[in-house]
Amino acid sequence: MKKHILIVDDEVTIRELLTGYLTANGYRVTAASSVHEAIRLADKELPDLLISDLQLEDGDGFEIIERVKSKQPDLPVILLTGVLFDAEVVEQVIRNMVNLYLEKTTPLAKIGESIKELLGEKTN
Amino acid sequence: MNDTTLRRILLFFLFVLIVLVAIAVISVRTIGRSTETNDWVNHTHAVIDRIDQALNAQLRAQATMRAYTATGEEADLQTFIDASSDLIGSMELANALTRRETETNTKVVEITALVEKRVDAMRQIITAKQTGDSTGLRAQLMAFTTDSTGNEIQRRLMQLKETQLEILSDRDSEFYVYAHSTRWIIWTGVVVNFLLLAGAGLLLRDNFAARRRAANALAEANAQLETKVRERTAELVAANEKLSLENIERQWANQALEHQLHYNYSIVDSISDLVIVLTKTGTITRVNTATLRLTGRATADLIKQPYSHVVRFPDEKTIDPVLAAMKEGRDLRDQNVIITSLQGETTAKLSLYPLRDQNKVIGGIITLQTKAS
Repeated sequence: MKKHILIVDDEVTIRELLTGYLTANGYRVTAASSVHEAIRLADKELPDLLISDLQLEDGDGFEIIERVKSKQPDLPVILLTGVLFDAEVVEQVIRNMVNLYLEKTTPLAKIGESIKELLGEKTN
Repeated sequence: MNDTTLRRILLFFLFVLIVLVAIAVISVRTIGRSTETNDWVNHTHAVIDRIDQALNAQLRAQATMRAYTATGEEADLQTFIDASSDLIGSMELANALTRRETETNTKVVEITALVEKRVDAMRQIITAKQTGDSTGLRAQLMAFTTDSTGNEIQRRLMQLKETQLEILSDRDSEFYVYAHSTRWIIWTGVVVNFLLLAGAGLLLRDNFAARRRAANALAEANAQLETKVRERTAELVAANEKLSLENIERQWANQALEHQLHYNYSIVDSISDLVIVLTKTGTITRVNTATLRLTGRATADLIKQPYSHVVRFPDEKTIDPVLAAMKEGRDLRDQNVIITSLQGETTAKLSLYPLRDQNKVIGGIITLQTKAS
């Protein structure tokens, strides 16, 4: 059965490109553009992995992460954002909430490999 | 079925038809001839029968005439009358039967004439007996006995009979040969037809076999073509998927670049100092938001203008220090300058940093620090 990934980003280009890439690589993808929509989708069906932007129109990605992790604490989470974080902040604050922090300039192939690792799939 | 095979098969059946028609014609002719021969044989036998009857009647007439002349018995006389009637009657019948055979009929007519003469002679003898004329009777009897007419009649009748029997025999042989050859022709025709039909059957069998082979070859070729089409389609699908992925990756790289560019612009626009980018000749190519705010001018008013449009040195310089520094590839730090704006003039500290691309100076970046920034 295909693994389910939930993508949350307010940029339509990011959502479309990520959905296209992950679907071509054999994943089932649902996408949300806001915190509210993402929570609704997560409540309907918990994903196997969450990829979220930090800055969204109606809130930030941490709200979604907290909500989803309250139901599934070991859910893998990738924070994909254009905001730069200090390494120390990432280590101390975000590490408890997210498994991986990636910038939006990260190549898709690298994002794909990271997803495979987090889902425990074999990588090339 | 190709044209050649069809033509050959039609030809075969045409020959079969021709042979069948020939057999039918020959059979009908043989039947007709057989019937004709049968009629002729019956007719000839009838003639021979009449000749035999005539011969027999003549002998009976002569015998009964002699008997009557000797005995005078009525029974002999009656027998003579019957025999002579038979004789005349037989010759008349023979005449009637041979009416269409000229040669035979001529002979019959001649014999009939002799028979009538002979019967007349016998009747005269009978009359002489009946009248009791014994002298006349004796003379007539003598004449009758010496007369060769009776022998002549017999001879001619026998000859006629033999002729008829010979013709019968010849005809019989001829018919046998005809019937035999007809039988051979019919059987040969049957065999030929059988061979023709067998030939047609072989042609058809070969044609069907060729068609089966062609159909199998076509099916195999179709299967191979379908396999090739499937493989090619799979290749195209895979190539298309690869292209789609490459396209997605390219678009992602573009959006990453745009994000980076946007981020860079954000960095420059966030600086409170004035930032002006120049070409090597001192023409403005970029300004930040702080520059627009302080000068009160729009971007379009500043781009492609010399930097002196915005900044001037308080002292007259023979050599433009900014251009000189860019040319020599060195920095300028904290030079006193005056910024010209729509609101008036403002003093500031100018610093210049040469803009390099692969170790080659392509322009410069001026920062202007006012007391307020």
